[in-house]
Amino acid sequence: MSIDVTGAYVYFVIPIFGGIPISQTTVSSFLVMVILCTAFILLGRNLQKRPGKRQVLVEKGVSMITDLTASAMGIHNVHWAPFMGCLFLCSICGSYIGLTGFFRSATADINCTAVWALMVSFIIWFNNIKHNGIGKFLKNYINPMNIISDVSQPLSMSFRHFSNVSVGGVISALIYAALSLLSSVILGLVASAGWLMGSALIIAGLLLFFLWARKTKKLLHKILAAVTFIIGFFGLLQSLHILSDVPIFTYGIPAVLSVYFDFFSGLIQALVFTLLSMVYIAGSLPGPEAAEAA
Amino acid sequence: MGYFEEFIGVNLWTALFTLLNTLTVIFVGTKFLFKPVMKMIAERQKEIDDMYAEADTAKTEALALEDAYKQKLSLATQTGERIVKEAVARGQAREEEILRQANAEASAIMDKAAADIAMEKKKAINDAKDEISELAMAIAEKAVGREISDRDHAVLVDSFIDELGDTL
Repeated sequence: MSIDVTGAYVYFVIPIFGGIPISQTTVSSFLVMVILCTAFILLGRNLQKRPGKRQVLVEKGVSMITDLTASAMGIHNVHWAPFMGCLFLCSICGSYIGLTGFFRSATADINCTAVWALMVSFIIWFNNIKHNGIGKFLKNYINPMNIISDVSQPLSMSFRHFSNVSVGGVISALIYAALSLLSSVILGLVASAGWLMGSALIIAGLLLFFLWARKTKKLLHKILAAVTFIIGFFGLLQSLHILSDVPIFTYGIPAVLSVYFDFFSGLIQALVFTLLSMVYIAGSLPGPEAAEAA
Repeated sequence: MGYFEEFIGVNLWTALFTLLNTLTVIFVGTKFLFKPVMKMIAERQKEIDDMYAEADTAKTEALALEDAYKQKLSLATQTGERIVKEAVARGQAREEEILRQANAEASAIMDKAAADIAMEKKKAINDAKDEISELAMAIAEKAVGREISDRDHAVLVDSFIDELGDTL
């Protein structure tokens, strides 16, 4: 059994400009763009002073993002909220689109996160030049540490986001492989002991369920009985050469882990990426006193 | 036809498409959702602030008016009290005057009555005197049998009346 850790699948190559590869990431990010733009236009329509249910929710979301921006960047930089909100939504949707199963997470591609991180870096450099002048900006790099920091910042940002999301998929694949290996080993053991073993486990499972688990009424006991029954059932099938190597343990268990690796991690990374962008960009912008004076 | 990319590999076309998609999202999101919603929230906030400010002004005005009315009211009460006091004083003065006039009239009436009574009395006495003198003359004529001269007559009457007057 081998596990391949690969990048995005390239569906086809458009044969112009020396070949334009259309990868899963491109499709995912395009889809995210279409979904988000449609949602924006639909949700932003027909705003009223006295809001309906939809508008209340939309305003709640927008004000959450605005509040986050105001707290991270200062109230004078609150006009950055749309940019940050869009970045956050792109990131989280780009991660969650992998949950559909048809598409690969756009953020599981280093090209995607690197572009975002570089976008943030360019904004920071632009702000520095705008507010301090090109001379001061260049003079800053006499100290080589500043070059390292300016390079490492987008590098760390992009790799953090990319690796957290993509490794979720890798770990899922590893867990799937490990669990199917485990199930084939156990089923092999049961089957090698002959059909009596399988039958015995089926009966044991039934007895456990009806005589013990039904009385204690605990979910764990019921699961234990069910697992015994299923191992016996598929072991029996394997010993009778009807079905073999059914990956029984891949049912259920990866879903629990996926909640963390895909769902939680996607949310956290989107938040981290957006917050870091806010902090970095706010650092390149003038303080509240200068902003007020301008 | 398709193939897998490296796990970590540079694909500038993917990067470019992602950038374009992200910029589109940012543009559309800013223009169609965030700006209008933020504007709406700000407008509503402003409206609420204005309403509160108006309410505050109205309250201040109302308080000022209340003060003014209170002052006016107390002034009016004072004026009323003064007017009542004056009226009472005037009334008392008038009462006294009326009483005095009445007393004066009453005493004048009494005086007049007393004078009338006195005059009547005098008149009565004179009438009585005349009658008595005539009576006395008639008696005397009968008694004396002759006509009494005017001189005798006068003397007699006077002495009679003097006697009578002592007993009267």
